[in-house]
Amino acid sequence: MSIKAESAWAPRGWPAERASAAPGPDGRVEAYCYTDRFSYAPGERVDLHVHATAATYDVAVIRDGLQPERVWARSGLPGAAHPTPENAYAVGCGWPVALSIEIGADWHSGFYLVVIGAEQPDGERWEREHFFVVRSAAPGRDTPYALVVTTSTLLAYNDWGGANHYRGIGDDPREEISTPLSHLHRPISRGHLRKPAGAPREGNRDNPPIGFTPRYPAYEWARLHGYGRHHADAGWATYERPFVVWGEQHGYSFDLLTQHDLDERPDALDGYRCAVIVGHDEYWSWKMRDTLDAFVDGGGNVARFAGNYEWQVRLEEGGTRQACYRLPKLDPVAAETPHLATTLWEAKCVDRPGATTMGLNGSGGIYNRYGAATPRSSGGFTVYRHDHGAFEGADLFYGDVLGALPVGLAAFEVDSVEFTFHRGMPYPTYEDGAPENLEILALCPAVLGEVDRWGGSAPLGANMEEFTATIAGLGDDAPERLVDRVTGAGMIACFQRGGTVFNGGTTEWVVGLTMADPFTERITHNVLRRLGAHEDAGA
Amino acid sequence: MSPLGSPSEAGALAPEIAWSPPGWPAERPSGGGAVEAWCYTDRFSYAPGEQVQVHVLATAPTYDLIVTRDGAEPEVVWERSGLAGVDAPTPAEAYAAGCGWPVGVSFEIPSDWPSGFHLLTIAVDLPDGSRWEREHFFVVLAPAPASPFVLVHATSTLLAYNDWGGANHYRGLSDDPRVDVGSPLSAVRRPIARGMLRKPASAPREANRFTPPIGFTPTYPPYEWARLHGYGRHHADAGWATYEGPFTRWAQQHGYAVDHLTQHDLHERPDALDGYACALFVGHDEYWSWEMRDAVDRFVDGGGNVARFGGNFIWQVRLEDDGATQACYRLPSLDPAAAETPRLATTIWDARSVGRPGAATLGLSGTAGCYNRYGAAAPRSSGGYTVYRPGHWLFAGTDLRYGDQLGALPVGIATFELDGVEFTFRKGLPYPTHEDGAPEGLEILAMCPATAGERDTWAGTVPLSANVKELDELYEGLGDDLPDYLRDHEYGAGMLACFERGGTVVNTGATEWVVGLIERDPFVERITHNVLRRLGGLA
Repeated sequence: MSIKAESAWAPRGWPAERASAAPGPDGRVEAYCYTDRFSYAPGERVDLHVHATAATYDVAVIRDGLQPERVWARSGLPGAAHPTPENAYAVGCGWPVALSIEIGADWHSGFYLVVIGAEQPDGERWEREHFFVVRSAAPGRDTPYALVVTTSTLLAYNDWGGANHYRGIGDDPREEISTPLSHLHRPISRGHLRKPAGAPREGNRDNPPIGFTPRYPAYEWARLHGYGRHHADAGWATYERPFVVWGEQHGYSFDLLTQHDLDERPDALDGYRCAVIVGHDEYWSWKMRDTLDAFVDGGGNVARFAGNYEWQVRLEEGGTRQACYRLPKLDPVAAETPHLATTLWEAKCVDRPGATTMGLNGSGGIYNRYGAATPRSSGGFTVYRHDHGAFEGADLFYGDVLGALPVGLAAFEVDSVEFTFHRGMPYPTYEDGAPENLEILALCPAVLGEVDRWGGSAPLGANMEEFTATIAGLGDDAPERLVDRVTGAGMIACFQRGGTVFNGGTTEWVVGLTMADPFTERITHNVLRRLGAHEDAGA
Repeated sequence: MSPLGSPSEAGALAPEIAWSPPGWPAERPSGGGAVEAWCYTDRFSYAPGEQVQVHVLATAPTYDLIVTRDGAEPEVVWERSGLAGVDAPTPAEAYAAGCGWPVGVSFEIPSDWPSGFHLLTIAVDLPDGSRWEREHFFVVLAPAPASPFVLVHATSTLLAYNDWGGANHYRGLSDDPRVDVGSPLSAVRRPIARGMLRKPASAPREANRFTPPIGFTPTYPPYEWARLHGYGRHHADAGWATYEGPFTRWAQQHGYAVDHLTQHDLHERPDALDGYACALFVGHDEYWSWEMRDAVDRFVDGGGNVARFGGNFIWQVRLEDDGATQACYRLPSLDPAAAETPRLATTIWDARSVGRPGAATLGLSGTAGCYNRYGAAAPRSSGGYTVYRPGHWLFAGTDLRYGDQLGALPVGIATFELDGVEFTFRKGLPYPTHEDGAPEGLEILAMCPATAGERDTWAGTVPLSANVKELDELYEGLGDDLPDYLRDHEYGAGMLACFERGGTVVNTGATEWVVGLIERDPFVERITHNVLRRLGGLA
């Protein structure tokens, strides 16, 4: 997703959730919590920071997955309200530690939901969630797979406290002002971590008629039901969870890590055969990439069932704060260390296209079936290299569509590299960091933004003008191929460099698994089995 | 459709695998005293005032003959009943030599009959009281253009697929179902196989509409339907009932007056298109003669426009015996006239000895495209075109966007047989490489994948109607006559394209365009209106 719209977008009167100082006039109470970190090793202690206007609240810790398991619970905890800074999104909430949870030595690596609950005066129940990841005490012992939870994208979209990397500051809905700083020490917006299975996703599933006005069902649903506006843009509930549930159903087990672990510890992936990345990993830091590149150089494999690899971030203040200024000229440290400027990875000063790590770039995409972006696409990838090992047993033929609606695999945000065709086959042009032996297996169309045909009267979730403004803002830092560029693509691709990198190239890969699409399932099995094998045959 | 059979003893083009179902011969007189009746006319088209000679075989005491001007509101314009039956011998090789039956009835085309397609139905009562009906046809020409539009009926493709009497250009001359041998000669003066001119609206078309599961075996629903209900095997491959008829009905329903001609008229009269603003081709015009193309090229050079809602421009034919016989030998080495006049060899237009790629006339060639959703060819495609140049005038008012699908299933316009040119991509947009006769200025507006044939993944155990091996053998047979751009060509594309050269040529590149009109797809309808209004000078 890109930045700052000129046309109307933010619906009026729909602020992000914030803490209240006291119960409301109707006596309604609330309770929020956050942990001091996103991941812990067994034996470490989780400090839970709590703000509650309820007299008492309860906390449950649930290891989430195919069979959610409650591993820790306390009730009747005394509530206490605490002041919250106006700019908590950037500086953190600063609430005191209310309780500590010791990670048991027998707690498996996984995703742990922290559910905080309280009772309303009318007997209704209030619940909000936070989370932490428990890492393995012995990487590689229990599973070849390390699933890296996309915590940087979660931070970019989490608007709890009033703002995220996209919007929230200022009162003019036509002029969205975002925060370049996103703090870890605050609650997570409702719906990122837990929500009903039927909640709409960002990829549109209807085929609009002639003369339509774009719609964003995920936002409509959130507004009506009281969830965070960006619930479907990032997070466990939309992306990693459905993947882990499917994996566990099919006999895979995953150790979990976070992107923050990759930033902090260059050896975080040591011991694993295959790093798995699922969903929306739009934001990465230089160091996170170093860790992953070293892993692949050393023979490690990557299975990425994700899309939209686009922005560099920096973790600051001991990893508690994420910075993304979008443009080098806005980033206070860009002058001193231009390569660390928090902007597009393809910016010339950064010059580390995502493709060099993952095979594909976010800026070669981006959108498909999002608002007015390719609103009537098939929703699938057209298969070109059906003989590739990743497709073994999937019975696919040249020209077949993989994951077309009603599945909708190639939707929302997709990645690609600049490509050309020869004799009916797509090839990278290699002008944008595409690795030497990258093979394009399948393709879908995409656009870099929605072209406004409504004269500014219709809200557009990703107005083309935003991407154009980013490129204009980069000035000489913008690569020529992205200037005046509207059209892109999405791709499934694969390459080898030490290890093998399979890139599904779409945020919505997991839809093929939740819908039990037999083709997507088979490909996912092929990739996991081959890349998780100790004698890697190459995907 | 690619050639399945060889006329030669050498069997150069014979497939190795089973295709022709045993025990399903084409229709011909039983000779055993059964009651049956067929008829044919001495020509395919007549001007008012000309005499139609109806040749008849009717082994009943009497027969009826009905002439219906077919269209949105079919009208019986001539009928006779109680005509005395006629028996006559039928040559074994009637498919090539004609039937030689006597004239049963002769009548003059009245001067007030408008130009149009006229069904000729012959009927007899069977001993059990049920009614036997078979059809033939003729086109009534306009004495002078009465409309900006003239629809050119694909009579050469009809002749290529008409297997009445035992054979067509594809099969019939072999007893071994694993070896299809076609007749290089096809006679005008014989009945037309049942279903090519009249059939129920529910009859299946050649393009598959279901999306097969993993591990499927290809099926060909029109053949299954034809076998069960007693229609000709190739009923859906060519002819008024499948192609020109549905288009004519739609045009009449939407207020377009259209004059009618046949390809045979183009062959005979270089000025046949004079006075029209726009020539229309609909459906499956796979076969053309050198003279037919001259007439179209001359028309376009002189400012005439062409709207082709068709696909599969591949083969040169020759009309011989004063137009009574069509010849197509597939390979120059098999064609007795090729040595003397190599450019007239009845083979693919791309052959070097012929050197007149279809693209030079209509912008696209069948050899660069071909199959989609036919048996095992792209069996799970979207069935639609992906739109790449939505800003083109052809899309005005359709609201289509880059990457949108046009006519995807359940419509399915980009299926069965498609035409394209060799192409490349730059910044997300397709361009012709112009190595294959693609005219200067050709714009590729939309595309779909297509394959040169079906790849056998069933080890010869499954009948494949367009096994890619057959094309390989054809190309091998061409030897040095094969242009470089077709060497090892398996993967191509179908295209919607447009160019200008004197007049404007719009080519929808798909045999199944008319399905978008039958199914009332609003996008296909709007584009068809745009094309007709602009090229007909109505806009």
